[in-house]
Amino acid sequence: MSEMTWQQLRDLDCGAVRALGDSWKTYVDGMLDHTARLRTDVIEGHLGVENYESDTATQVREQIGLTADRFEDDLSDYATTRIATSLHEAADAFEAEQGELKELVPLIESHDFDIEGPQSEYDVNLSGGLHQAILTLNPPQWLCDMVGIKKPDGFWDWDTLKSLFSSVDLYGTAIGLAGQYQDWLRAVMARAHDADDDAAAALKEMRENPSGLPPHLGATYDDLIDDYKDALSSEVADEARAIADGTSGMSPEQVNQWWEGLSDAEREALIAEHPEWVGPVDGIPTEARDTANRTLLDNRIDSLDDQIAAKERTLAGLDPESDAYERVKQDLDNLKGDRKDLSELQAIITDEDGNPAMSDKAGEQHYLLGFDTEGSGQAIVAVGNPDTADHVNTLVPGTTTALAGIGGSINRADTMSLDAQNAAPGDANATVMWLGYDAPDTIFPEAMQKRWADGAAEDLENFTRGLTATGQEGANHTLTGHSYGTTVIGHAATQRGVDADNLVFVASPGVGTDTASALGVDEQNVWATTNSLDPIQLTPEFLHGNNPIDDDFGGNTFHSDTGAWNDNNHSTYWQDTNQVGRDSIAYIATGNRPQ
Amino acid sequence: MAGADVFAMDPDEVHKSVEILFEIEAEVDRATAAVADANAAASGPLTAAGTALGPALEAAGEWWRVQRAGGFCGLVGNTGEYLAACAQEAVEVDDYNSGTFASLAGELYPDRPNAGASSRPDW
Repeated sequence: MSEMTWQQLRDLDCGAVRALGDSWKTYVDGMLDHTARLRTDVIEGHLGVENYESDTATQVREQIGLTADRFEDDLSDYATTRIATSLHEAADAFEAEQGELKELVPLIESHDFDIEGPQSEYDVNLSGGLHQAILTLNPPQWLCDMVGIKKPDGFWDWDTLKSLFSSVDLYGTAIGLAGQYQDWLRAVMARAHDADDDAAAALKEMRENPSGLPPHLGATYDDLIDDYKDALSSEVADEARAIADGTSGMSPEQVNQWWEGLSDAEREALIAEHPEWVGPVDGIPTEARDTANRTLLDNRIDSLDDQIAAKERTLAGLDPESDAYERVKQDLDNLKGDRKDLSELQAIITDEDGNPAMSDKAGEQHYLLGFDTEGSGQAIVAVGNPDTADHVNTLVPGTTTALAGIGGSINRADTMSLDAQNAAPGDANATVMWLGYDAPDTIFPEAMQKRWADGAAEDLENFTRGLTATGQEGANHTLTGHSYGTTVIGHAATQRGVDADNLVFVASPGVGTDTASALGVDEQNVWATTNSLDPIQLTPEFLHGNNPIDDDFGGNTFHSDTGAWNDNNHSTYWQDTNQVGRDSIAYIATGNRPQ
Repeated sequence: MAGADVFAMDPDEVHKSVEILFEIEAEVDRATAAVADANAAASGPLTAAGTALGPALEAAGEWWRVQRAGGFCGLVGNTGEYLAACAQEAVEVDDYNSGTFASLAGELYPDRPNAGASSRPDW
């Protein structure tokens, strides 16, 4: 577990970590020269058939080839993907958080706050000096400015009296600012610890289940070589299973490197024979995931049909008045519900000829990146290919979004894609509808709770990192949340970190932090909007923190028009009545600012 | 391994292969030691800074040096020694052990650790 303090993070030499990663890459390049030499100078050279021909010679040439293959795989899988990439990812993550500390710590110190507590839960409190200054009616200038009073300069002058009468505001303002800095510091350290633990896990898992080595030539060789070849044939499958199970410790970037290192035949075999190890995995390219997930969806529907038929047969033999009948009937209804939901999803993403369907508005192909029927169900559907897009906008929907009726959320993604096309004609864009979490089913009590957002944080982090790994270099990534989806984004951004250039909070009840600074994305690229008739703005701050449309949150806002007065104005943001708000989202998502 | 229908060998060419195998073994060993040393040097400050990465990196570097690059070097060296013995006298894989190298070809490669094993009192 990472036990780094903020001071240790501040003082860490990230350049040395990155340089070590570079050293490993240079080392790998040198080692590959040696394996190449084994093939050219030995197998095909001095030990060629013209110089040495016999069964033994053939066996030795094969042994040298196996040895070279093994070392090349090790150099790729371990030295490059695991060690060098872990070092580079850790250096990047540590350096980003160091940058935050360099901005934050001087602010804390200049406002006379103290950092206290253990590294996992730092507190930022008013210093004794600041307490005394407020109590003695001599508040610092910055605090007077924030509260809007003049700094007292005499004993019992008018400003001193105003200060006395404003002492509650002075304290409240100082504590509020300290709280924002505390949120910021905790988020910085949470992300740094997460990156540290992830890098350590990738290295640890590497050592836990290594691939075997070819046996040495000698007495036991004939007994062992077949076992080695058998293990070799299942090695890719074993790796794929560990990655899909989440036991490999690999980041999405590392998964992507692993995938790109496979042969075409190995990739095709995995998609065909084990789509369950391909479809849900962040870091595997979109086309492969889509193909695998469509197979999984077909299989799941077929399986549900079989289960439904079996339940119906069972039901026919039961007494309709019995408890057993009621139980089986309930199971049958659940299965039929899942069957209906998945069929609707299939109908959206598939055309009449069974091919991937194009979206109605943007005319972009649908890609299925994940689905599940657990809980209220999940689905991840892209409108347009994120891997080839210049701009990728990921929509995270909120409370009551479920697999049932998922078409509404996909339709919003289609609308966003069309808006992005209009905002940046000629650029390739994709919009992903990410219901990769179990969303709250009710406003009260579920949407009042943060556990749904906490439960989604790691998955959203990995999804955004996967998009970066498989996408175009330099592509513009935006995360757009609606309602509780904004809370999900906020929790992921502060606890784990997200790969996003822009954050857009639409109709937010709060994002789990009081300040845009804690989100790990430049505050200039944090945006929020809520229309004037949306009751979400009445959400009390103690539930999910400052509302991001508030001035003191520190981000930017843009205007959204309301629908009709009797509409549910929490859900009118993607309607034609709010073209101004839709355009603003599109400008942000295409790398511009709202006009 | 038994029953080769065809047997043809140019011992000089096989010995050249052996020399390349031994060169690669030595060079990989040297370069691996260098990167492992750099790895250990960098992991110290990371560990002192309370990171989880530091200890994991140190263990990974040592694991790589001993198990993976070390395993590769062992295989390359073993194959080289086997070929050296073959070039001196046809040896079957199943009958081969490092003593065979020492007794048949050790004197040709005096820098090998067990090259002089056959002259030891306990041989």
